[in-house]
Amino acid sequence: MATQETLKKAFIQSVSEVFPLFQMQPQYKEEMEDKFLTSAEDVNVLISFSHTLEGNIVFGFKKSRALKVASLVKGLDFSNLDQEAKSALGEIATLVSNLAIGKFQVVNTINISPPILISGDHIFLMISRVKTTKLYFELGDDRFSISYCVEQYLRGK
Amino acid sequence: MGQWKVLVVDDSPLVYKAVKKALEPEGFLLMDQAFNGRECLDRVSVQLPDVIIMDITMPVMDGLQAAEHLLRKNSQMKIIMVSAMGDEELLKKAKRIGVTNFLNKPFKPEELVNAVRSIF
Amino acid sequence: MEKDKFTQFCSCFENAFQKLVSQYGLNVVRHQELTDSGGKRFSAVVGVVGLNKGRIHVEMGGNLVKKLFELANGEPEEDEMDLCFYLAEFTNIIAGNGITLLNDRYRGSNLRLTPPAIFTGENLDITTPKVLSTSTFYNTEFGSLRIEIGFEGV
Repeated sequence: MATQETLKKAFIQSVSEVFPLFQMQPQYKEEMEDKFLTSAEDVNVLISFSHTLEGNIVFGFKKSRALKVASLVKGLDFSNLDQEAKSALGEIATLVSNLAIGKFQVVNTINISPPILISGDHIFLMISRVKTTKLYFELGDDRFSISYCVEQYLRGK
Repeated sequence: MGQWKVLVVDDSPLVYKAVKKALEPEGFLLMDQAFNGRECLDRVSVQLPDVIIMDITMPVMDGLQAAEHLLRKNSQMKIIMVSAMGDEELLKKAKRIGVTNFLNKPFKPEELVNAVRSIF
Repeated sequence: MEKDKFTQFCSCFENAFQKLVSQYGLNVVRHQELTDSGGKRFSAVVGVVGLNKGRIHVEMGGNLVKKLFELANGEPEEDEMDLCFYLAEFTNIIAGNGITLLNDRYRGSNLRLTPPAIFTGENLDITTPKVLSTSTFYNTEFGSLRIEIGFEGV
């Protein structure tokens, strides 16, 4: 069974393995626990998973950071959050999530949904009816976050 | 016999409110809500409800798993499963486990009352 | 996914939505676009996993979600959390009823839902890169709503 500590380690390790592939070196800073509705960033990438484990993962970036990350992933210079930039953010979030889930799942039966990009102003999010864990990473001169919840450990056959 | 005790197991507080609104006027006593299957098992070990109204998809432990545990210990336990999903495979699983009834969400208050009344 | 199957998918979710709102006695009319896209919006996203991967996205304004809450619960909400819980349940029911029809029609699909994610905010833009989606808009006297359905490989 995945514990909170193994989940956290899996996300931190996956970030440290995936981001350097795109010339980024984020540093893990701190963990916070949120209940239900929590404030979100300007740009958010949602990845959901289901089966033996269920839950949601949200990568949150400020808009300027999102554009920089997308530029490094695609090797292009983005000044707007167009489809290509969104696709780049979806790709890196999927890579981190796949890797993290690969690290903490017991058997290979977790289904991951396609990434969903949510942007806007004054965004709040609720990804769980139980507690949400938020990990902050420092990247360059600002931060990004990974919020996640794992809602289900036991499923009837 | 006194009032029949009903335990609602659902991760949404709104479902509890809706069930309470439908069943209390009919004379049923609503126990405090359990928010997942694990909480349900803990609650039942202390105070036995007459009927359990249980969602399927919930955090920590889902409704099918909890129902299976309960019915293995006491095959006479009355459990009504409620879910937005109700495909044949799921219904077969619920039947195999031995749940008493299955209600599809959204349900009307009178459908719930009828499902509970049909047990007694 | 073949176009025909996708069309059937959309029709299953549409049926589930119509069944749900008909229980509220709400007059819902299909429309070409959102008529009140400004201000604070509420969005719920539920992922679909299994043989086909996709997501269902329901978006509406604050007025409409408040009204739907009241119709469903017989009283106004206590706080915004109530509205978020309600929208999660509303979307879950549409998605759950929809995939029930699909699982029965396409045996072996084994479609399941991921837990709902709720977003509130202004100027919300929700997209799924590389996933073809179709949006249906509905008008009510309390505001409009959008249901967007997208699946990979259509």
